[in-house]
Amino acid sequence: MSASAYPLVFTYQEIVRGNGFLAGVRARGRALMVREDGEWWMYGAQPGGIDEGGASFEEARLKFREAFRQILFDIAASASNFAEFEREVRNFATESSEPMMSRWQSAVELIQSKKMTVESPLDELPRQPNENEVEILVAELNEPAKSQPQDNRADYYAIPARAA
Amino acid sequence: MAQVRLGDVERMLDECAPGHEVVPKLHRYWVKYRGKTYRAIPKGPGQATQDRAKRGRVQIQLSKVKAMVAHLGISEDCARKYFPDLKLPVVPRDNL
Repeated sequence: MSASAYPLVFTYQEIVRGNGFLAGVRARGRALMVREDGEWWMYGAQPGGIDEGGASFEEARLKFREAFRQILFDIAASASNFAEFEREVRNFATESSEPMMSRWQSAVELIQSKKMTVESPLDELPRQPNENEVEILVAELNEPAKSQPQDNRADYYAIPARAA
Repeated sequence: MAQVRLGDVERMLDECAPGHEVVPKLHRYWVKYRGKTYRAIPKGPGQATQDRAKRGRVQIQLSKVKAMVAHLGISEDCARKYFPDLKLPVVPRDNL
């Protein structure tokens, strides 16, 4: 069986409607993108406990993105107020999967030491320093007059390939 | 892409993850065990339900089962009794 596993960092931004509140969430997480037996799977390392697969890298990452969105929506549906939503989102976003984190770190080291090359199409992703901390911002959006278009963020993926 | 039924997964959890909890959500089923939560089980075509018999027919990719086993820290040997084709570790070490 042939398999390749590549480390990714991703950043997602989402607007979520809750019970009596509107929230903005921005999360930077870590995942492993694995090509195995003709399929691509994106496994969350932090957050862990989330994964999706498909016939291509593109399909796997789009399904993973949708799963991430649905988890935020599930949290919003169960939260009775913004404080509860924020707490649960932080629990989700910071929960790591130890097996995945271990393999993610190993894969980063292999790339940094040039012992592993990144295959297409992942080789087209930007490279960035390996920042260890996961970022999670959760804000209640109750002042729309302060909104700025420069705060919008498209989905972002990168290979953590250089020492921070 | 090998698939299994949620009912079979829950039978495995009964033995291999005693005290686990399957929580129906709007879009997914969550499985909680020993302080960890696996949030990636699809709800299938209908609504997620507390009715174990109804949700037992939901189809799940075997890759998700192995990811759940790894994330929740479930004994691989125990899980393999129910799913002999479960290939672990979840990410093979060919290039690691």
